[in-house]
Amino acid sequence: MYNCGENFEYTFVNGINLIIGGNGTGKTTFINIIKYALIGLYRSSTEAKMYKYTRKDRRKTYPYSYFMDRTDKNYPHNTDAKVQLLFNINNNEISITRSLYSPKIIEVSINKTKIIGKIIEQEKYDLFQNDNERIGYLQYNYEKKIAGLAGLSSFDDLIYFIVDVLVFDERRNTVLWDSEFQNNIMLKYFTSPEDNIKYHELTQDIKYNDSLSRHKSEDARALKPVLKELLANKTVKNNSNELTLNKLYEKLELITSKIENLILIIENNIKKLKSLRDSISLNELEFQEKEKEIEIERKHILASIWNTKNPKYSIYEENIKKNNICPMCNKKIQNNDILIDLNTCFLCHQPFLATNNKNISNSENIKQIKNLTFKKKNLLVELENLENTNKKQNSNLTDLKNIQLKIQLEIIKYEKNTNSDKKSLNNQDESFLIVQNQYNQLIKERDTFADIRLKKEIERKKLADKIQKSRININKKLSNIFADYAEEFMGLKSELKFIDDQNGIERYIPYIDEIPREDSEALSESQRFFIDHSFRMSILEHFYTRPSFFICETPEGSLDISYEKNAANVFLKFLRNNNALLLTINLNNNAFIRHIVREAKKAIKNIGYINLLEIGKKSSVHNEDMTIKETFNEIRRLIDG
Amino acid sequence: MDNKIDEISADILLVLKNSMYIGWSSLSSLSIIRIIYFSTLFYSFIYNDDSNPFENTYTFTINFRGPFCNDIDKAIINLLSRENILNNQSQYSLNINSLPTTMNKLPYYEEKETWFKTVIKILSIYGENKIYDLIFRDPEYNDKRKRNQETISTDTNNKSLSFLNKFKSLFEKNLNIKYKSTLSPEQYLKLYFDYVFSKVIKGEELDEA
Repeated sequence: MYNCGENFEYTFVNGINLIIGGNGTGKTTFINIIKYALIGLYRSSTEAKMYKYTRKDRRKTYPYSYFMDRTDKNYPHNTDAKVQLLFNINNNEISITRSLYSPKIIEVSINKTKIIGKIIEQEKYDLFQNDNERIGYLQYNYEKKIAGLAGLSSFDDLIYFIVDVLVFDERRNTVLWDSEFQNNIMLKYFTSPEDNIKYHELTQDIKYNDSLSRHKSEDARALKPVLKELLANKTVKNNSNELTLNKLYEKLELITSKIENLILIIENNIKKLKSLRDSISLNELEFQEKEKEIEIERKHILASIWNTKNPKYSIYEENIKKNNICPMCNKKIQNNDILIDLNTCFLCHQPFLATNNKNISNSENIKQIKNLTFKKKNLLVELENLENTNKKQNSNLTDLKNIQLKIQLEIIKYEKNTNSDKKSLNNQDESFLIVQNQYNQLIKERDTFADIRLKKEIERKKLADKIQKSRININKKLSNIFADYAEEFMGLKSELKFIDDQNGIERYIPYIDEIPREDSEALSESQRFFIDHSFRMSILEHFYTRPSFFICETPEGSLDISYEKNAANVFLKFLRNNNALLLTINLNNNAFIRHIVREAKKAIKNIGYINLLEIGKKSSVHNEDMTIKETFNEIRRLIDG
Repeated sequence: MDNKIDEISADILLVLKNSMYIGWSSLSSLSIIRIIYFSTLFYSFIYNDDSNPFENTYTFTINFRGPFCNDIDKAIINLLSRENILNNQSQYSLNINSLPTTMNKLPYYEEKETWFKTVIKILSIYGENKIYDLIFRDPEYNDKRKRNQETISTDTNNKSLSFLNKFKSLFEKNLNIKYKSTLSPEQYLKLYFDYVFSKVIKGEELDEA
């Protein structure tokens, strides 16, 4: 995969690790090798999937031939290709060796003690359905040990953390605006492992039982017309259940209609909220523009007032020229002691500042800024009112849905009674009996699953409330750390608030310059990325007592000149707790790299690098481009001193 | 010339000009500093949602006489050197003949002038001794003095401001709320301090409020 001979070794430093190379030289592959060594060829943790009434929990993977597809097919020893990674978890030394040719663990040792287990290819291991099948294999033992050492409830949590928090790769996925991510992180890290496992299990169970209940309901619905037709010829002894049932159906229809209307209203409000927030952002941009203009005007006016000669300058000058007397001490001076020049000051010899005679009129700008301030106040009031309304409406919706659920359960109960009444009728029709039995069985199963689902939902809600209470303290501390990083990049007041979003979901929302940035589109690309990095680093800093690491691919890609230093400073801040950074760099923003290297050296931080221009796959474009080589050499000189 | 000193020089001229209207023909540097300090403090008190136009210009520190600002001293020297103000035994007065003519073109000039006028008038009603006393009661000042800290802020985190705001809610309960929006800042402050000092005269502890 790389032209580095048969072996390549690199020792990561606690500081900055730079992987330098142009496009296509293998930077992303290198990162993926590290990830693979740590967690396997996985790109997500376990998700519950329904497959023909069977529940399957699967991890998403990269193609099993991922690394082999990137090798030189002419090399004769590809089958021997492997990676060995040495790393540390809570002072435990771990060494793992995996094959790159056919993904599998070859060897693992912890604190120099080998871990026993059967070697199996990951492709086969991933087919196992449960732990009973996995026991005894080296991969299973490795994952269990590592999860234990890291204090996690399962290895899936480590996969999740590495894939979604510790690595910011070229997919450029931001997690701060991902509700599902926030929910998962809160469960896994803001919650005790036991509560987390319980919540996860309950969620999977709810999903599973809900799916089953709906399947049964659909099957029963298919049988209903048949049953109705068969019943049409029978006399019904007891109508009272039917009547109650009809009333319940009416109520259900009414409630469903209310729910649908309310959903429309809420959707409308959400659009209005978005529009309001856009207006506020626009207003803010205009305000800032006007402020800049006013500031320029202020400077001009102050210059016109104060950048003039002292009122007595001319007479002092006359005194020197005509009387040869120093105006400061009144002593006689020789002709050439003080040089008088029309364009420079006789004391400091600097040229006079040109006075700006521009006719400056600022009243219009002031008026406009006052209007913008007034408009902003009104918009914020309107936003607050609409958010409150939205919150109330969402609460109403939840109440209505609960009522709907209760009515549905009532209907189920009455349908059961109606069916049992019908059973007692004089019914000689064998077909009717068979269909009726099938229908009853399906309803029974549907009810059972619906009951289980409801119970699990109630249990999960209680657990959610318990978890929520414990999170408040964490939220405050996390916000403070976030502000520290985010303000470094933005140069504006930054906060992280845990509040309801426009969909009524409670989550972290960044506030920049006191304006909520609920949508990632509310920020420019580079701002979005670095606010997201700030969020990830806050999580790392808050939860890890020992040094950790963060991997970022080509962070300099979207930066403009104004933000280069700020961006570098955000990363440098992360290094303060002896953390390690791994950055891939493609040398298209030298100012960023120069700054980060210089500042890291000043702070006596370690800097390591891998030059993929030498060992990576170079195209003819790279071979012919001297600029990229010169740029790398400049960076190398900076690093090596 | 440093923009900050320019800005402060213009403010000092405004303070001296507006002091003249109530009969204070000259001021000491200490009085000038106090007037500007209270202008910044009361601005946040009255216009609590708006950004304070003095905030970015002034940094106050503590000494035994109360809030102090080094930049104001520098600006006074600048004004003396240019003969915009005159010095008579450390009392500074305006040199009418050399007032810059384009000063009124500065952004927010009118707003600042009106505000200084309001604050000076309020302080003149109660006299400088009462101002001095208020500084000594200033919780921010005392807190910083005890903890030997240097800088104080006049933004919304200022302890004095919190203290004044705490008292504000009681005051507004007494005030007929219907009329609150019709009051000018000067009227509001006058009524407020009437209320505060009436409490002081009666011997009621301000922090019980």
